[in-house]
Amino acid sequence: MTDATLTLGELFEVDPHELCTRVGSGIDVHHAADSARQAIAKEASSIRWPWVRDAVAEKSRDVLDLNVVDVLVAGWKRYMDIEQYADQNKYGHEEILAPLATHTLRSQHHPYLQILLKEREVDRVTFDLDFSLNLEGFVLKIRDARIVEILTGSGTGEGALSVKQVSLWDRELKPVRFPGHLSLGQGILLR
Amino acid sequence: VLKGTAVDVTLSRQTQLKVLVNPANPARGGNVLFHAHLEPLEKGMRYRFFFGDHTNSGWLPTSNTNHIYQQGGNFQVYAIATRGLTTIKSQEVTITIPLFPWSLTAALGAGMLILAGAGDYYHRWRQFQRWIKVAPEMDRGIQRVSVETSAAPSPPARIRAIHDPGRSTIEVKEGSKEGKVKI
Repeated sequence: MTDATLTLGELFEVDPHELCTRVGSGIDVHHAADSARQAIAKEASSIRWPWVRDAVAEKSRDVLDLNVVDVLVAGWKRYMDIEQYADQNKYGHEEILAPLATHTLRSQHHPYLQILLKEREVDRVTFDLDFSLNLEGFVLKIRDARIVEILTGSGTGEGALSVKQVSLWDRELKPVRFPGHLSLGQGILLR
Repeated sequence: VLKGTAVDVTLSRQTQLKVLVNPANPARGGNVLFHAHLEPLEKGMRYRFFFGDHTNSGWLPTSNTNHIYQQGGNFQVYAIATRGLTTIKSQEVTITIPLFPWSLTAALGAGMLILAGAGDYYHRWRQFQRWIKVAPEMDRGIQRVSVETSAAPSPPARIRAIHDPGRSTIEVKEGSKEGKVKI
């Protein structure tokens, strides 16, 4: 986990209210949480289902709190051949600015919301989250085998979030705005 | 009376007194307004109301009065109006005061129901808050990276801190002598 945070919701400027509304209506229409509904009706009939449904809808905004910085770093470490900069015999304690080639990072996730009744999971609502970022001009600042800062460039991105058949958020390829640099605090080990 | 005989005709209009009650369905403990309606109206009359509960209003110069019934039941109310030797009595009007305050009971009942409903709602809401939790779980996901260009990125730049000793001068002020020492 990195200190720097740039959530998917922030990067793509997702309206959380619209997302919650769509989740709320989609849960009932597409029976996305029927197990929870039945369990609650059986074990806690005093609890009104709309309250639970609204709580699920409200929490769905957390799905877009995915930290894009973590995803980027995970992808770069795996595919962008930056581990070479961990060689301290070669690079010593110098600060290295490693430019990244123009690239596209695609990331697929399946976050879910656990519905707990008296601390016991009675159902989970699983989302399908898929986004991609075309990145250009990104530079990594590396020191002592750690990425300590990301100097961001320009980029475009697209993404989609759905639950069952309900499309909750769908964005066509558009420019995304990154902050000029993302400081990673103590840094992230390259290896 | 023979045809052609002159006769005197006197028209007399009978004076009537009526008691009007407002409200029409008075309640126990509620204020009841009585009005003695004299037709035709004559000035200088005095009025007295008998409320049927062993009380009366006493003589009044006006035709209106108020009364509060402390008990429920049926009460025969009448009024009299008098001037000099003339006294007119109204017909009796029956007033029914409910023995049990149903309207108050209904209001209290409705209030209790609302309170009970609110209490039940609160209880259910508390149970919901205690028993139901929605916990988001994120996954790390699967990332794929594709490099757009065949050209390798430019080589890394190294940043090395160089400690430049610099160039300093010290100005010495000693009496009238001034000098500069270069280091």
